[in-house]
Amino acid sequence: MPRSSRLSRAGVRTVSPRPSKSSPVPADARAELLLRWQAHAGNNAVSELVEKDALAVQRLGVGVLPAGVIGVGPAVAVAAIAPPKLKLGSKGPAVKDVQEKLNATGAALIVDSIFGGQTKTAVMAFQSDQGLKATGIVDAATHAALAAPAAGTPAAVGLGRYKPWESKLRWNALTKAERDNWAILGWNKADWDAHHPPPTATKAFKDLTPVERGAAVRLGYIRASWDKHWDVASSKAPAAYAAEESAMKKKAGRGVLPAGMIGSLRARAILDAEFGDLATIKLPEVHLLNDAGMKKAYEGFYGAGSYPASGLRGFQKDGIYLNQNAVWKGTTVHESLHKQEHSDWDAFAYSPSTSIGEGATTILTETALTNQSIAVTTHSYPDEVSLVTKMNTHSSLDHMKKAYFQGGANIATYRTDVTAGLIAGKTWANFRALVDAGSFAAAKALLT
Amino acid sequence: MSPSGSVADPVGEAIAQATSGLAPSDAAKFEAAMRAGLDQIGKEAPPEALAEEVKQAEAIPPAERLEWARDYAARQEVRRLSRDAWNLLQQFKARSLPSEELKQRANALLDEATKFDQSRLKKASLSELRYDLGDVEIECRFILSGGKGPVSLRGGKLIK
Repeated sequence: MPRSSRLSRAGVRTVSPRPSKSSPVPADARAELLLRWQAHAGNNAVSELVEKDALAVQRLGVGVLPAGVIGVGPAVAVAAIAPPKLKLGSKGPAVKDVQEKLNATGAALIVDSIFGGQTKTAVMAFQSDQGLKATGIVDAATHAALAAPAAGTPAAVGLGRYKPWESKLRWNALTKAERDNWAILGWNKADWDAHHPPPTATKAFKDLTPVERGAAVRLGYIRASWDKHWDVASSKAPAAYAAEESAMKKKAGRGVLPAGMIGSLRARAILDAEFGDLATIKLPEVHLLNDAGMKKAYEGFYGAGSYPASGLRGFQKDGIYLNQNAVWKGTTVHESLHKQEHSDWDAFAYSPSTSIGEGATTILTETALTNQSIAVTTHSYPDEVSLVTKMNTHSSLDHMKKAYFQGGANIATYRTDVTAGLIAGKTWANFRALVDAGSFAAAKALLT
Repeated sequence: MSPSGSVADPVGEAIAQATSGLAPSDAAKFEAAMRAGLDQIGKEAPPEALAEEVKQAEAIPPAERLEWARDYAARQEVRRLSRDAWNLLQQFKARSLPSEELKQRANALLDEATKFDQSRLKKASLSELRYDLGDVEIECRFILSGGKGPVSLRGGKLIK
């Protein structure tokens, strides 16, 4: 029986068949592939590929690209070639591109340009979601699917745990935590085993309640994977979150990191769930160092004996380095949020002082964690939070969020709202001067 | 009270109010600590604004008010150091000061930050603000390195 028929019978979504490797690819499509490859792998990769495999180029056909499109190597005129296969052990910008694309479909990978075991697992999950043979090798069909992944159907929500596809996972085979989360999303044993999705399964992610969003994130979904029903990719994500967090703990040593410290992969999922409608969430490169590591790195630049007696919460140099003794469980979420600030907000909130920016970032961090049912026990920047909270009584958290993530006219709206809340005779300039002078109590007193 | 109805010395008035239940010697110490803290606030803040800062003391039990004022002074000093470092970083980025002057200021600020006595802060304040002092130091050193070394997390945003 063809695989697609088996999937249909099982109640699992079917997807449009992908072109097989032997299918002739139209010349325009080949040129498109090459251009796409050039865009994400760079000129050198394309040139190297073309030079190394002239025979393959001949087999695929020859055309002429517009002058200067490739610009390097003797094979400039060759227009059609498929991107190379990527597999366990591959490295480089092409792998990085694939990792980023997999993450956009709901995988949880550290983007390190190295095709390791986790990338292979993510590729297999993606291939399963797309109805491709789960080989773990990124071939032409997988490249094409990554460029334009197909959606599944709502009936598949919660049913993506088929491994192999022919065997289905029963409700009782789920862990208790998984059952609890699926129950929040409306599932029960009977419906699960009968493949009858509840109404929640057809809701767009943006329409889920905060509690439902929290459950979806714990099950490994991000906004895109929920809306497109990429369930197999999602089912692998929680293990990836846990693996990263476990590695962080192990590296730091027993008892060093706060309980429940959120890793960067889970932070991305949380931020995507809470703010993905306002911005495409970018993942910062975050490293944790112990005191000795911080001191060594610092003094490596600034000389022996230069490390501050007060310690350092972190520093930035080709990535974010955090002192693991100065973090709380939401630090990664907080620092990742800073990465999402619109440049207009930067100018509004950070110049000349950092007060409004830190206050807003802390409020958003705590909002996100609370919505995800993660208890917040440490409150950073209390004075700054108090200031921005008062500002938000005259605008709103929604306006602040839009200003924070989207800048532009939203900044003007937010500022106008806050200004309208000032006591008679006082201006934004009066208010801002007090904030920048460090007189938060006085600044707040200007707001009615 | 002035003829227009505004208070002639709002800070003095607020201090008098905040010290009304304190012993005279404690009242004097409270005023000294409070004025030292207010001195750290930027000159942009008018007396009425400074009076608002003092009024916060009224929410503190009288027996703890002197300790609160001392902590307030130390907190404001850390905040001022932090603002100075941030302003210097902005001037470094904008190249709005001659290089030599920038370095002199960075050296002076670094010296001030390293000499700050952290025991002046109450435990809660120390836990909240100690890393701000570290940021001041790294920002000064970053400027002195000509922008080649690592910088604070907030500085990384500014310099990007």
